[in-house]
Amino acid sequence: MALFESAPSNPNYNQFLGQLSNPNDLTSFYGPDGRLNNQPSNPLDVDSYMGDDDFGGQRLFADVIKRQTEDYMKRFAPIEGALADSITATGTTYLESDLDRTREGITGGITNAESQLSRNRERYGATQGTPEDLSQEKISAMVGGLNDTRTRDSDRRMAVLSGGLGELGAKAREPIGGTGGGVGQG
Amino acid sequence: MSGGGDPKTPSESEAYKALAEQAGTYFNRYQDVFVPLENSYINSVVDIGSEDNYNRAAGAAGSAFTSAYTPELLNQQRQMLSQGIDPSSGKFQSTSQNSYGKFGSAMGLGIADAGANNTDRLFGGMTNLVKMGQGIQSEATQGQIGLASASETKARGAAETDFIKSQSNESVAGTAAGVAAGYGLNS
Repeated sequence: MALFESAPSNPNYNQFLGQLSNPNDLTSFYGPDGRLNNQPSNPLDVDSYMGDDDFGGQRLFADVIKRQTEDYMKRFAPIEGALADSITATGTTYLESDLDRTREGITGGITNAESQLSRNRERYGATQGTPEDLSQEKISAMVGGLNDTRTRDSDRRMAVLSGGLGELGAKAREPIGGTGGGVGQG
Repeated sequence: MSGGGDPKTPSESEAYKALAEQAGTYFNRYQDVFVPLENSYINSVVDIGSEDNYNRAAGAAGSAFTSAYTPELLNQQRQMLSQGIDPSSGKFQSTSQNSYGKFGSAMGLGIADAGANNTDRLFGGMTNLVKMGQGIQSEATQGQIGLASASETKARGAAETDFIKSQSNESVAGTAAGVAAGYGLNS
């Protein structure tokens, strides 16, 4: 699954933040594989704000806040979107892939054990008897494993809903936004 | 803001300008020093969800369970042989089948657990990134080494539990075999 494929295209995931930046920037910042495109950021020319009497300090403050917001929208908002979009009614969108891995893991473990058991019997010359069959153990492990996987996915959903999405709601209501990695705030 | 001049267009105080200059300087320094490090961390989190990473976690768990169980399985078979139990006998085969069944189940569940742990790591990392972006970063992730260590601990624990049970069954079986031999019933 492309981690961020839904975040830039989801118009509803955060209307408030969506108004602050161009969503198209997000797709250019995160590549199709979800990794960051390391685009250099132009530094602020601090001195150019200081040399006049035309509210250079205020303009500099405003630009710092804008740049922080842009940075936040480019690098962190897509992750929030991906995390929020992963939530389903009962768990997360990762459940199916985890269930597949559980099935593969248990099938592989049992097959491995059957092969080793077979080799050991041959080593001891015990070629008589029924062929190795650990199907009962497989069924038992599969039922337990799939149930555990579902439970863990449900726990994951609860963890995200109960704080994994951070405190943006509270911060967004503050008079001055708290985004941008905590630099130059206040 | 204070200062003289035209009251309609008040100029900024030196202190205000200094604060703005400090904010701008901090922002540039943040971009230079911390953003590359944060980007590296973001990429690391994204990579947790890669297929390669899941395969590595599964492989490590499988190896841990194989390492924990194989010596115990071989030891159990040696003990049965030393007790004169024929490898082609039902006793030898059913005991082996039971033990290898436990091994296969434990390894399968261990591999499944490693996959779910990796998804947990991905979610922990994404949660951390969300908090980083909002300035409330916390330690929510566990490293790959920590997970590998957890798999080993689980494998050892499972093998010990299975073989303590198995050994106690074996003692009973051995005693019964000895009693049977004493009565000339064990051919």
